Amino acid sequence: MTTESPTKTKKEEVTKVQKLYLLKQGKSLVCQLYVSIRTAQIYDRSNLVYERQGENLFGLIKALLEKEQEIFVKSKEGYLFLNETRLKFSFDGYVSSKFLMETFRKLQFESLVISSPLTAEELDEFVFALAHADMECENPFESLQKRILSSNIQHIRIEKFASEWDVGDESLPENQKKLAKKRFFKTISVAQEMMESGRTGRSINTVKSKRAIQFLIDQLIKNETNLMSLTSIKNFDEYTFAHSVNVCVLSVSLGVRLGLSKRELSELGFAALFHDVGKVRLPLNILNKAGELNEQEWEEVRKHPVFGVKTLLSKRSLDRFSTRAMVVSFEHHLKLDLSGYPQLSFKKDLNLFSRIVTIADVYDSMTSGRVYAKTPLTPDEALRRMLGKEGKAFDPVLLKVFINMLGIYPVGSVVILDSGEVGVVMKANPAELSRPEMAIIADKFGKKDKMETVDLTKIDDKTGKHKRTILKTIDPYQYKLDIARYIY
Amino acid sequence: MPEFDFETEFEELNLVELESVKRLVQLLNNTLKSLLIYPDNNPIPKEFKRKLFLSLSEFLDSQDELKLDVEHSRLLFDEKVVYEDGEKEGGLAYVLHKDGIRELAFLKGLEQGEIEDLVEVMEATLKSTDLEEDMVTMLWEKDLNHIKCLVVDDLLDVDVPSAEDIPDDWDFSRLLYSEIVPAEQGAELGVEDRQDLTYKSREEQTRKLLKRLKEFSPEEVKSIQQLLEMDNRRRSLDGFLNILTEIFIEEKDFSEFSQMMETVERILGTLINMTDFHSAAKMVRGLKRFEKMMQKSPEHTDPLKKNKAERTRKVVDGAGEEENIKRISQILNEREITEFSTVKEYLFSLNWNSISPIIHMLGDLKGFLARRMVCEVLMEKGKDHPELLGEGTSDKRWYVVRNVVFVLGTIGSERGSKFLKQVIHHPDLRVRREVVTALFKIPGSEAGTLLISSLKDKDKRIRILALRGLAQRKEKEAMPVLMNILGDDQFKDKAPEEKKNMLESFATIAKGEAISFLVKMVNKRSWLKRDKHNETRIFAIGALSLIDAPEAKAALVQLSKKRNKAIRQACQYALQRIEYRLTRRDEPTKVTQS
Repeated sequence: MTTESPTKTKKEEVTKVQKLYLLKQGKSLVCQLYVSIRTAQIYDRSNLVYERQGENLFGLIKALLEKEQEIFVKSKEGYLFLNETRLKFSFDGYVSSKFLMETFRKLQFESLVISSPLTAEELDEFVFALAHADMECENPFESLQKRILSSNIQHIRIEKFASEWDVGDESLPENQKKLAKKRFFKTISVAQEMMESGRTGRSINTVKSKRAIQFLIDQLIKNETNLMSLTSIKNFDEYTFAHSVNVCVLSVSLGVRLGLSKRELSELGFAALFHDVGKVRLPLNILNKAGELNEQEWEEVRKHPVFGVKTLLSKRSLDRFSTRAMVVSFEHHLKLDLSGYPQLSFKKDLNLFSRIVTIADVYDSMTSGRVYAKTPLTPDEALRRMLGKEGKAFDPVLLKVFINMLGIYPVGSVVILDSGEVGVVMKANPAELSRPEMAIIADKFGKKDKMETVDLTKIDDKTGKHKRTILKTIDPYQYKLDIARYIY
Repeated sequence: MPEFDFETEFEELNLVELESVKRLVQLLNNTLKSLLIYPDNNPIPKEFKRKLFLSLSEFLDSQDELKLDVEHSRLLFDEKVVYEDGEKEGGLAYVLHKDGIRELAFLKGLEQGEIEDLVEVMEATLKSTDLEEDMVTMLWEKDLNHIKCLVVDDLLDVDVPSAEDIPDDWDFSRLLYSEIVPAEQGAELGVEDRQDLTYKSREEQTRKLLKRLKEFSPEEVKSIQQLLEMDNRRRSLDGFLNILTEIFIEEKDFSEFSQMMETVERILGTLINMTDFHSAAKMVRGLKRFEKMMQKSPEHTDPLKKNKAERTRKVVDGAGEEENIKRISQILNEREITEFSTVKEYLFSLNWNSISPIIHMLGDLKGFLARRMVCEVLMEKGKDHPELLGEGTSDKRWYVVRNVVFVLGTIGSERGSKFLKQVIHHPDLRVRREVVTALFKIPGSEAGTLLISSLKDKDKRIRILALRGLAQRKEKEAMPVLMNILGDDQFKDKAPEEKKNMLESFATIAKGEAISFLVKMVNKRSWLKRDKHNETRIFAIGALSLIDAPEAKAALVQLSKKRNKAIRQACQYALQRIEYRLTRRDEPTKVTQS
């Protein structure tokens, strides 16, 4: 036994070093692969811009192949792996990783396997095959596979989804959407239940809400679009609770971008879900008032952050979830420069979670128009107005990450395209913020037609220009348009 | 040649597999048991965890995955029972099942850290009494790649509104036109013109916005990293305590304030039960700061502020009351806690009213290290309250008294003497020894008097210790008593070490005044008990050598001329000692000069 332990420790040490190496190189590889594919979508192979990126990518892979016999990049459960090592991305590498996972998903493959002796030509061929793969054809995987074979790429192969934990009914897009909806609505009812407990002074049992939040987080990591789109529906009967869930979804999504761990995301989700819990102590006539509030009523409303802390204090036990939630409840109207409410006796720095929740809360409130009878703003207008207050009300960098996450035309925006068509934004495009995926709901004459999903990044072969570009957003309420019909 | 029977072979293989799964589950169960029995740092659970990891890895090398179905009190592999809980609740299967886990799977590539995490979560669930901390949440947060759970998903039981129910009566045909064409131009344009319209200014605006949003400058990246790091460092409780203070300050309604204080009391209790002493200490310190703030405020006459300060003080005082401190002792004993720095921090944070209950901890705590920690706390807290500490000297348990005496001695306050007086004749020798040692460090005449009184202790060891104490304190008051004892005829009959210590102490205290007395003792002749007498004379010569005066040296030179060989030798040795001392004293000067 005495001879075994040191060897084991040494082995463990080697594995640790190897893992760290893969983590570091993996991040660079994903970013470089993203840049190379994006460059290949714009430039020719002979173009110097691509050549430089291709060389960088080849250098990275070559270095990795010197240490590992074979490297495989795998997309699984919303994460990217390099040879079994899960890669972690914060906001700066997020776009690359999401782009790659999305490319894998659209082309229906799980892993990309590269072996020695790879040549630079093979790699270039493969990058161009990926960059120009037809993702809308009937069988994108087979099509890409054929191209790989015909291009004589011998040292790169792609593998179809195989893991038991990824396949099955849940992985089908339609079912995922259904599941997301169920979880979203269940979280609304859980939030309602918890807040009712707070209103009646009963002790709040938080296990249910923690579980609901976990499901939301898992869903957001795998596919954020489904849940994000649900946050754009503002006309629920119980908007107060839907607002809490919206803020939770938006906050957690921002947390995912920042590279927070699951534990932190879970605390953030909990704090966001209960940020307005203090409102349960406000008189119902104020909460449900249809018109504008008077100054006295506003004074009451301004008490809700403190009421929130008091309500959460009545919880059975004090844990990291409730302490975080109390801080967020107290701070979510303070504003970055502390000019908000409640008034403070001591200067302080706003907590990270409060900064995140403030952004999500204001965005959702501005676009809903349901809070204290204000006129709803279109999502892009809300973002523009928020940008005008960066540094005062909001953390400027977090706000920037938030807008990068939503795109400048967030999901649910109704827009007019230069084609004259009207569309609803269905999915943000982190790589090109002004070119999201959308559903066309009316033709250039304003006629309803069969709904068609279009990708605004598509180039018209004849003109060499984008097929469609957003001209402006319009207010759906003005047209009695309920976007829920399309988001569902 | 017999035909190869695939079915039998397959069944046998299955049996082997089943047996190895049974062993693995048993090993998991034993690992958990070992964690419940032994403290965290014990090597036995560590070894269990290591074995469990190695065995599971070995299994997964050949089988790719190990999937266990979880039922209320049993675990199944391939529909066969591989583990059953005993009769009582709280077994492995029950613990997994109660939180909704219906399948537990280990996948190939399993890492040692993942096993550690799984076991840690299971252990926490088994030990936890908190109903809101469930295993599924803890496992989920660990985010394990190679351990998966299938959990009952009751979240799916919900009605979802249907898209078909949403009215579809919007109309763009008119309004769309006005959206894209400014009103004044609208009338001039036909439907066909719509597609040619471009919004140059809007495009430019979007382009600028995109440029601003797209890239993150190094400063922006750094600012986010700093924000994340700051959040990692800051414990959520810090923020919570800050906002509590803000709310306390702003609260206008005293009954609301009082209610919040009740909650704070409850939270403190929970933190103690969770052994989160660090957070509890922070909370108490926060409350004390708030109390001070209310008192210091210029509007201290404001009854609300006064009431708030009093109510806050009540909470802090309450934390230091007997019942609450006793609970801490129970927790420390039951949970075999070995790291006491946060407990110490918490006890430090309490008000002085906690001193007596903390003293009682000395009697309740089982571990030596825990009691030492309590002594350290008392040394600090008792500095200004030796009277409160002194109460501990009347405890019936000798070890409590000894610890309190030790603390009093370390504090060294003159006010502690009166309590030492109460126990200077304590029946337990160990207490009396501690009392005398404590008296060494306590200034004032009372401590000296007490030391002198210890010269009459029935135990020689105490008397000797008292002599050393008197010498260390250079206690002049002791001179007549010592001379009295030394002058007594029976002095020579005392044990050699007592005689030696008595004479040396006398010489140290009396210095020059002792020379003639000691010379007289050396010169004194006796025909009875000559050996004992000579022994006393030799000790007296030794005592003379301790006196730092030329007269002492001269006396020794004179005495070295005696006919008695033993006396001569003792004097020579004593003179050598003086010389040596003088040389040593000069040495540093020589070094400096050179």
